[in-house]
This record gives sequence, C-alpha cells and structure tokens, in this order.
Amino acid sequence: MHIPDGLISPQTYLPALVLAVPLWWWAGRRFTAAVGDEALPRLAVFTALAFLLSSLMLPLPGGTSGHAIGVALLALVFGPWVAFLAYTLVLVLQALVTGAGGITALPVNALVLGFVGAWAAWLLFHSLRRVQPAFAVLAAVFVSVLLSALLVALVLGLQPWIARAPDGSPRFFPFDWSVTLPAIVLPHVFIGLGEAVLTLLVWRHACRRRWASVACEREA
Amino acid sequence: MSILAPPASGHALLHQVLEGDAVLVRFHFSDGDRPYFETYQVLGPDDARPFQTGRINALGEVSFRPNRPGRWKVIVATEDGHGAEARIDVDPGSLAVADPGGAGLAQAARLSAGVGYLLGAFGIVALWRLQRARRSRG
Repeated sequence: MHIPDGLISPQTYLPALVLAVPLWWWAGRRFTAAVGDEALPRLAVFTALAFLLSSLMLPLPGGTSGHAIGVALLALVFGPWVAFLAYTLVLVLQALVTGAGGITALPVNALVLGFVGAWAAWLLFHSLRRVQPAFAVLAAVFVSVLLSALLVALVLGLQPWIARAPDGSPRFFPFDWSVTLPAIVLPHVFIGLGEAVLTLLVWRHACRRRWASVACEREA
Repeated sequence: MSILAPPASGHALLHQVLEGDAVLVRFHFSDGDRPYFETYQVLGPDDARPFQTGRINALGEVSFRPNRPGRWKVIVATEDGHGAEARIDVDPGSLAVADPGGAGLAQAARLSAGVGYLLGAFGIVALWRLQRARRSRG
C-alpha cells in the first residue's frame, strides 16, 4: 500500500513534509523515555518483523496481491509515538533498499501508514480493551488497516484533480476516487483480517513475556 | 492542373514502418508478476507534458524511442495504488542507456539487507546509549 515516487504531486507531499517533520521530532523526544535499554533489542526485532510483513506480497482473492502493514503491532506493544518513529525507519529502508514506496512519498506514507495507523490501533484498543482484550486487538488492527487504506485511496484519487499537465491530463496518478476507493479499500478487508489474527498471536506472546506496554500487562 | 495536384489525403491515416533503436523497460512486482496492460506515461527530460502514454504490453514491457539525450522517466500506475518511476539516462549521440535506480539485487537479498540495516541501526542506538551512560558515570 506504499505510495511510490512519481504518483503524487508536490502539492501533496510538501504539505505532508511540513506536517511530518514536527511529528518526527516529537516522536524522537518521546522515544528515549518510552524505550529503555532492555526494550531496545525487542523494538529492533518487532521493527524488523514489521519490515518483513510490509514487504512480502501475498496473493488475494480476485487475482491481485497485497501486503500487511505491521504498524498496529508496534503501536500495541510500544505505543503510538514509538511505532510512528520505528515505522518511518521501515519506510525509509523500503524506499532505499527494496524499492517500495519512495523518498518524496515518504512523508505521506509515514503520516498515513505510520501515524494514523499507529494512533488508530492504539486508541481503538484502549477504548475496547475493557470489553474484551482479544476482540480489542482484532478490531484495532482491522480498523487501523482499513483507515490507512482509505486515506491512501483518498490521497491517490485526489491527484487527478490537483495536478494536471497543460493539456488537462493528470500529471501524476491518473485514477480518481471512483477507481481508487474500491481498488485499494476492498483488498485491504482481507489484509486487515489476516493482519488482525497475526497481530493477536504475537501480541499474546508479548503479553505472556511481559514485553508490552502497561496496558497489555494488566490484561495478560 | 487537377492532374498535377497531389492526391487529397486529409482524412487518410497513413503509416510508415521504420527501423530504429528503442528503449525497452520491463516492469515486474516483487513476486514476479507483471503489471500487464496497466497505464504508463513517458516523460522526456524536464518535460511536464507526456512524450508518450499507453498501456503496458502483454509481456509487462514499455518501449519508446527517445528523441534527445537526458533523463527520461517511465511512470507506471496501477488502479490499486502500486506503481513505479523508472529513470533512464539517455547519452548524447547514442541510445546507450543507463538505469540509475534499476534492480540489482534479488528481492530476498533486498529483504535480508533491509533487516540487517534495521538491526544495525538499533545496535548503533544501543551503543550510543551505552557510551552516554558510561560518560555520565564518569
């Protein structure tokens, strides 16, 4: 679901950069307090897991393919600010090493996948965990994936309206919302379900090992 | 006079088969699948208006014939938001091309390298913290 370079306009990624920089700065300030020396190796492994989850393409019904995101797991175990920062590192490496995403698209991807994905998962989990923790994890991850997919579809579908060549043709991404919304959101229903189940399994393991945040320890 | 006038061909679409070198770019996803019949546009150096647009062929390839040197771009966008921007440097005086961002490593090697870089980055943070703690202890 990463937006690659060349598909979004400067009218999109420059404001996103202006918004993302202070958020990265604030997340960096929170990082030292939130992640102690003991938790740092675990964060490294969880970030590597998110990197792999969001890099491996899986076949989906309908002949298309997609990949998980992985930021919700980071958010549930380490909190949304740490997840946002760690996932930005994932996005940077994917842009530089695996060719997924891109450098100009990094602020948009970081905000949509890293920031919104992490905060949606964390907020929903904390809203629902008193009802049933496992259900809260499943719902949080599913909604987080779908919300990120919806935002990616909206950002891409906006491009034909805001960036046109002199002859009126789309300068960057050519499809509008009538195409992007079903093409991106519907496959992520399956991805969200799969990622929710996988996240629940890893989250339970993290709880048993007392690796995760205070909220998780209470429910373990 | 009417005998000497050239035939009126204002509404005829004629064609001419030429021989010439072209740039051929093949696209593929990390799982080996190809973006068959997806839309693409070719942009010449510093161009805002596309030099060529169309759909990728049944082999997952785009071909075009650049008419000047410089950095050309082939941008592919799929409906589900995947895409790529291939940058191709065309040398002056020839069609020799270089792809500065082309694939060099297999996907498995790229993933392994990515995981390695990630773990290494956190290792550097851990070392920095250790060093800082030692300094603060005096």
